[in-house]
Amino acid sequence: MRLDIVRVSKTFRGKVRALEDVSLTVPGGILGLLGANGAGKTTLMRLLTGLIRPDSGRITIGDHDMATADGRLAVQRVLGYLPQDLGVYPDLTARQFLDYVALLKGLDDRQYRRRRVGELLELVGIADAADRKLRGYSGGMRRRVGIAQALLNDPELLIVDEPTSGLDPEERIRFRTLLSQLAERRTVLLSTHIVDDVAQTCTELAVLGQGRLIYRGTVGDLTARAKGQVWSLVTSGQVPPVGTVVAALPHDGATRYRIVAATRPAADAEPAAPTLEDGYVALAQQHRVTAAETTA
Amino acid sequence: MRPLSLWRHEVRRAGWAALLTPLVAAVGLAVVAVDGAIRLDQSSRSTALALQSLLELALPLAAGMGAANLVGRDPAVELQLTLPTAYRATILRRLLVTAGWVAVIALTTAAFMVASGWWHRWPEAHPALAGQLTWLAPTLCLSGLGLLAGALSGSPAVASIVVASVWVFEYAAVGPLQEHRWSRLLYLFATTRGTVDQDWTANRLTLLAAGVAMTSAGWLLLRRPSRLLTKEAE
Amino acid sequence: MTALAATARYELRMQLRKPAIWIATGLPFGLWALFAVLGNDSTGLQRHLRETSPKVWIVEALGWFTPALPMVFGIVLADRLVRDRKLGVAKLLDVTPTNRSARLVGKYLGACAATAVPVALVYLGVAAAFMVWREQPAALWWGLATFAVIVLPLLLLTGSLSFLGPQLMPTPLFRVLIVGLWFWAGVTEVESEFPSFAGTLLSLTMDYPLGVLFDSPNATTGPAGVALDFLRPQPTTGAALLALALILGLAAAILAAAGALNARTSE
Repeated sequence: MRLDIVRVSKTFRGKVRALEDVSLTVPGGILGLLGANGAGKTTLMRLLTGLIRPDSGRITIGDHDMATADGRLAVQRVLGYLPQDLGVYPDLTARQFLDYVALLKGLDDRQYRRRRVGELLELVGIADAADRKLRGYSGGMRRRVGIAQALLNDPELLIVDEPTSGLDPEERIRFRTLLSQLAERRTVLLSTHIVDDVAQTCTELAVLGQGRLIYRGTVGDLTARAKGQVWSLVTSGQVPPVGTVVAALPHDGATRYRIVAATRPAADAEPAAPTLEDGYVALAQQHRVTAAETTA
Repeated sequence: MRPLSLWRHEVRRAGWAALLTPLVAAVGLAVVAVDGAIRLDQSSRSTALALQSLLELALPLAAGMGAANLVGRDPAVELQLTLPTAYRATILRRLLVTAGWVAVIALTTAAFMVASGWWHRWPEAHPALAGQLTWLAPTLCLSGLGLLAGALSGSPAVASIVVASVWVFEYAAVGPLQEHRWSRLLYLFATTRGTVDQDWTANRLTLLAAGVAMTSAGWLLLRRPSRLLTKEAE
Repeated sequence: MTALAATARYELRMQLRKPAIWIATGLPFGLWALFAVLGNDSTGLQRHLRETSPKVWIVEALGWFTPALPMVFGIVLADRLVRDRKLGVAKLLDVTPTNRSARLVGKYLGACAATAVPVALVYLGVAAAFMVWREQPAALWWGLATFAVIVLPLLLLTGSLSFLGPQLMPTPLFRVLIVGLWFWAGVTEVESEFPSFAGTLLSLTMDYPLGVLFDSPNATTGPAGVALDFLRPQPTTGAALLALALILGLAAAILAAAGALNARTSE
């Protein structure tokens, strides 16, 4: 299912510019959406799900124009959405909650609905706790219920906002694998600020910064942006005030720093092979510089 | 027609408070009525008044407050707003559950009153069938008001204040409200607190129409999901 | 700053920003104004316009507004304590090195103060209007006195009920019951055969203080030959002061119970 976002802007209460002139095309497969907190990711997700309307621009999903009520309804019928803050009904069990959401998604056939709920409870690994009330669930378990409800109607478009928050490492790996499998025959939009989730799942990504689209391309290309800008430095003194420290590990009484900087931060700093996270940091640095130059 | 399972879920979403409140109101006044009937000889008028008040005062208040609590308390509202079932349809289902339950209690009470003869011991009571407007008109009016106030404010507290304030005002200001025709037509308690005789039917029909109008206005307001997203959930 | 003061200050500032507080006062006041205009010469505004006594003006002009206050206070304050638990803030605050009771009292005082502000503005506004119109500075003092003696104790009592009630039942049910309580303990006619707190020392329309200290003719005091008459002594200054003491004592006791229940639930 193709997503076409054309010059979309959204401002809240007349002053908070959440999105500015964003254009993005997703032909299919899985796209990672990265960005700092407040970059506009959730606003974009909400626009795509029809929760809010853009102030300007156009969004088309499949053949459906999101500016019309019919278009939004058509998309919601084939949509699976996991919000960043998923609220649940604490008095319901997981099974009851999924049953309720399934009904609201139009799965009226009782037998099919029960079977589908059972399958998904197994898939996300909470079948054993399915008949416990949600108020007793941990954050990670609730997240898994959220993933399950998003898949109830076998959606053509899956939008997941911070899906792995609260999940333990094994669960995260499991979820990433699941997402990749799901992306084989549907469009998946994965919004996160955890770079590793994108690195392990996506080949294509987009990066938002302060409401603008600052990168659209492959994971490889973004990683390559940091080529020649990643340094490893071991020091017991102050870290040089150059670039951004992306990691700091104890090392033989000193600290090994991993720094992203356009120039060598210290004479004894050694170059290192970039990762996607380094590429993201390099991009963010460049974006800040560009933004500062623009306002100056 | 949506499956019964969905209605069962909405009964649960309406909350056991919405189901308990009219019962508590009913039991409270019934206890008062029975107490009066047991303790005092000349209680038949007081007891009949108490039972009619249950229908015209207590149950509509419970319905109105139930409606006032439908918007702004849903923890899963963001998810609900992205589902193909329109959230306002969900709200309307919950309103029907709340108001429907009040109607069940009202009809049961009315049936008891008619069967036991208490219905006609209140001098201003109307024939049993038309007399169901005693509770139906203010119930629909206050439910519509609660829904509209909730849709406008997104706050159960504000919507509850609106319903309770109107209820209290109409209870307390019976004198001034009877002096003008327009205010008589909007008087919620015409059966138990009094009105001009020939105005009763017009009054009930006006309240019904007002209830339908306010419910429709609430329905229209709930079309825009972004209104509900920005409100703080209680 | 102590935990009590900090909590009270935060609660006050947060609540004053919410429209609910202002609507809770503005709407009954607006409806009262409507009533004043709708009424005829003997019940409406016209009667009050002939008034020259500032004391009578304050008590009578606001005579229909005051009885609604316990109800609106209760509805507005209903979710204040349970909200912390629902938002998950309670656990965070419980691990801070502050006294839980101090926080509870601070929250209570802050919430009551916030609810009192718009009401105080109404009372003082009406008093100031009379003061200017009739050139009687005493009106302002009567406004302050009525607010302090009649409104504040009511606010404190319903505030404490609002801290206890929603811990025992769902908030929507509590909101309905507070209206029922207002009905039963305030505006029911004393002469009716049903036992009620109307016209007693515990009346939510403050009949004894209003009748004795402010000479309100609408206050119902004294034995009525009905149930609970032991709470309807002769209207004396002592009885009025006893009524105030009982209301405030009840408020304190209910708040203590709310605190104990809250502590128990948190553990």
